[in-house]
Parts: sequence; C-alpha cells; structure tokens
Amino acid sequence: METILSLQHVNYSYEDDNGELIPVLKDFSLEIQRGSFVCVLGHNGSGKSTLAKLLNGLYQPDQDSGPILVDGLNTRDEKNELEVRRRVGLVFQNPDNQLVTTVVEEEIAFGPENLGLPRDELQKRVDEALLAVDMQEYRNHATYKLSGGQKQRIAIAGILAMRPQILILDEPTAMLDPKGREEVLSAVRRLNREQGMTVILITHHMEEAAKTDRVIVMKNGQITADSTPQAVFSQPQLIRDAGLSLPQPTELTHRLIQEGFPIDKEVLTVEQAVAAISKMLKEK
Amino acid sequence: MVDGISFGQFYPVRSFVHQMDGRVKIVLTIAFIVFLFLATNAASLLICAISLFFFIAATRVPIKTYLKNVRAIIPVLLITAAFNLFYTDGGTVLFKIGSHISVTTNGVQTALFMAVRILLLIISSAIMTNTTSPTVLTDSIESLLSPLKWLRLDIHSLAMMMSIALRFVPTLIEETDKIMNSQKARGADLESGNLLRRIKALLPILIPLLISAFRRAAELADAMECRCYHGGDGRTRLRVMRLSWRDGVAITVFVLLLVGLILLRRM
Repeated sequence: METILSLQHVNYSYEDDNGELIPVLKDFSLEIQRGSFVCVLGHNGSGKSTLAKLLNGLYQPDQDSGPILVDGLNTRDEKNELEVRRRVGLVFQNPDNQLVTTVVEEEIAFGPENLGLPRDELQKRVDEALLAVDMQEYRNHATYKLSGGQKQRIAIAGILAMRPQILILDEPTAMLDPKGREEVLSAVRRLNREQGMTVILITHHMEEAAKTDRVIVMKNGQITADSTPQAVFSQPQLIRDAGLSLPQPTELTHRLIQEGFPIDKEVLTVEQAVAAISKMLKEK
Repeated sequence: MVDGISFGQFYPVRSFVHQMDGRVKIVLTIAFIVFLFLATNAASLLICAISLFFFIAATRVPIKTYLKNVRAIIPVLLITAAFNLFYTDGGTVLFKIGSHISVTTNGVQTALFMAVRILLLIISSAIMTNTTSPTVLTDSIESLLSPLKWLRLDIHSLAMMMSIALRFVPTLIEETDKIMNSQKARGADLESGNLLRRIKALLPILIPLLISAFRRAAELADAMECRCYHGGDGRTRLRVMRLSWRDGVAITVFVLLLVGLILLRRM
C-alpha cells in the first residue's frame, strides 16, 4: 500500500518557563498507509497530541530533525503550509472551542471559504459534508443548541468540507457521553470504510482502539508497540507500562488465563469475550 | 442565577427581515436610533413604535425572545426614568419631596419619553441581532467599514473578533453558571452581605472564567489555523451580499417614517 504520511527521525522539543528545552518526541519514525484506520494510544504527556499538531504543520519539528512528509509535501516548507493543513484535517477534543460561527451551514463553509473556493463549490462541499456525518436536517440550526456529539460531528464536517486526505482526531470523544461517543465513532468508521479516508484516532479509550486496523502505543515520546489491536492487547504488561489499562473484556480473559483457564487470548470486545468463555465452558 | 440571556443571539428562521441585506439592516438600525432622538413629541414616538412593530412582525421571531431582550435592561430603564422624573423643571408642580425635589408635569413627560425611547432602541437593535447571523454581521460590518482600509486599518480582523465575541456569549454564560455552582458547592457565599462583600465574592468566579476564556481562545485559534484561516485575503463567502426588493421596501418605509417625523416636528 501507498505511504501517505511519513516521519523520519523526527525530534520535537519546547522551551519551558525557565528557558530549558524539554524534549517531547525523540528520534520518532512512523509511516502511515493510505486508507488505513490507525489508533494512537498513550497516557497524558506521551506526546500524542504533539504528534497530531506536527502532522498538519501547526508545530514545526526541531532544527536537527528529520522531515515530516504529507503526501510528499514537507511540512517545514512555508509554501506548503496551507496545502498541508488542507490535506491533514485535525479535529480537537472540545467541540465548543472549535466552532467559529453560530449556524451549522456557515460553520462547515468556514474552511472552504478560507481556501477561496467559488460559491457554488462552497455549497456543494457543505451538502457533501453534512451528508457524510448524517446531519442534513440540521443545516440551518444554531450550533450552540446542538448536543455534544452533534457539535463534534459538525466539527468533523467542517474539516471534511476541505476534502482532506487524512483525518486526525485528537481525543474526539473525551468530553462526550456514551451516546455522543458512539455517534462520532460510527461516523468516523463509515468515512474510513466507505470513502477510504485515512484516519488517525488519538485516544485513551481502549474500546475505541479495538475496532481499528493498527494500534500504536506511545510512551515518553517514543513508540513502544505498533501492531494489530489483537497483538497489542495480548501483551498486558506493555499496555500497563504505558500507563494505560486494557479493554475490560481483554482484562477479564487475561485474568482467567492467569488463573489457569484454557481460553482464547485475543479477545477485544464483549461479544468476543462471551464467545471465548462459552467455547471454553463447552470444551470442559 | 444566570439564565438564558439571549441578547445578541441569532434566531435562525427564514423571514422577510432575515433575508434582508445585513448592511442595510445595520444602517437602518442606526438610522432608527437617530430618529428616536429626533422624535420629540408623543405622536412622532408613536409612529416610530408602529413602524418598529411591523418590522418585529416581519421577523417571525417569537415575541417571547424580544421580551427576554427587554427584561435584561429594565433596571437601566427605571433608573433613567427616575432621574428624568426628579431632575426636570418646568410645567406644573405635581408634588414635592422635601424642599428640593419636585415632580413636575414636564418631568413626567420627559421620563416617559426617555423610557419609551430606550425601550424602542433596545428592540430595534434586538431585531438586527436576532435576524442576522454573526457571520453575516461580520461580513456586513467589514463591507461597511471597507473605506477605512485606505487608512491601513485591518477591518477584517476587527469584524472577525466581533463575531467570535458574539459566538462565545452562550458558551461563557454556561461556563459562569458552572463555576458559580462549583464555588457554591465549596461553600462560597455569593448572595449575602453588603455591595462590597458581594463584589469581593465575585472574584473567585471571575478569575476561573477569565483563565478558561484564554484557554478557549488559544484552542479556537489553533482550530481556525487548522481550517486554513489566514486573514481576509483571498477568502470567499458562502453567503453573498446582494440588495433585493426587500431592502427597497424597508428603505422606503424608513424614508416615509423620516418624512412623517419632519412633518410632526414642524407642527
């Protein structure tokens, strides 16, 4: 598969209040394939949000750093700035702090307006983005009257209207209730499946990671695991070392294994746990 | 408690006034405020009120919203009326309070006129903000002030700041409510003591609110940059401002109103 994003030996550090350089990412290398659904897991301060902001050029890597290439464009190159931001759409945690206007339609048009698109194209983009997040009937609603999940879907639509190649979501469900979380996640999954959008989901909800193609675990600015969800979650010690906890069904099966029960190791969801346990009971 | 102060909030429906050009709405609102101070007798204030009433009807915004807008300024209204009542001389003395303050017929008249003027002023600006979305408001202000660009003023940024301020009104009201509740839960006493004590009690609310507003501003700036915002250069608009027959009708009504006011002033 084609590589859409590549980071080669990237360093990033910031200056703290005392003028000391604090390293966040150290010799960080990563490649992301077009059309994949990647989950980045990590505890607070693991550098995962910094990674997101580096990928769309909001932050610039250190002078001695290797390049960050988005679809072949170097994010350091100033003339690529707008094009990189257009191609790498970034959605943040708090929907309230991302909405610029008070009407849904105008909110979605904000990005394409900045790109200087003609008016009929703007309208087309708005319709298309509303459809993608299944919010057509809200086109003339006030943004501040929507629920958290709806606001976050509008924030995603606002990014989609710029027709990005990659969608990065930085803990998009952290401030939502379970219903809102499911709304947002199913919209994102649909985008990946039906439109082949490359998605990078940054989260610390293990359950969200279970349904992706590839899980990357970060700790102190470095990658400590990079594999399929099954492979990553079958290494409980690695997950705990990163300051994270396993998905509950996985935790349960691991404890059963420790107690000596012969049970399938690669369990991620409740359904799989039910199947594995009933299989074990039948075999007994 | 802070309840939904809806002033300045766009009410999204389709109506005659909603579809008017934002620039025309701004200019006419300013004109109306000038008219109110040209109206020096009861008849002229009455025709101002009547024309305003027609515009309210043409907005299709529920009367309830306007009542809410008005409710917020009742204290200002009463204080202004009281000052005019007690400090206007002339006319027949109705009664005296002490030896210095007397209430005269002129006083009653001025107080009433002033109250009505402020009321109509608030309603007319509410018509504008209820029917114009912040984006359109921004674009209109930008367009109206564009001659100032010759003085190298950054009109686009100014207009953008205003529209973001309006956008964050409900968010910050909600936040104030949350902070008040959490400070109360920690035992903060916000509702007793003299004025000075109460003002002091507001500090633990204002400081967290201010800090959070700065954090929100920083996040919003990041989010805007992520959406390729780079000032007004080369920006296109979903809503294009174009004058329509509605603006013609509204302007005609205003010209007639002005003629009426001039005639009534002569009488």
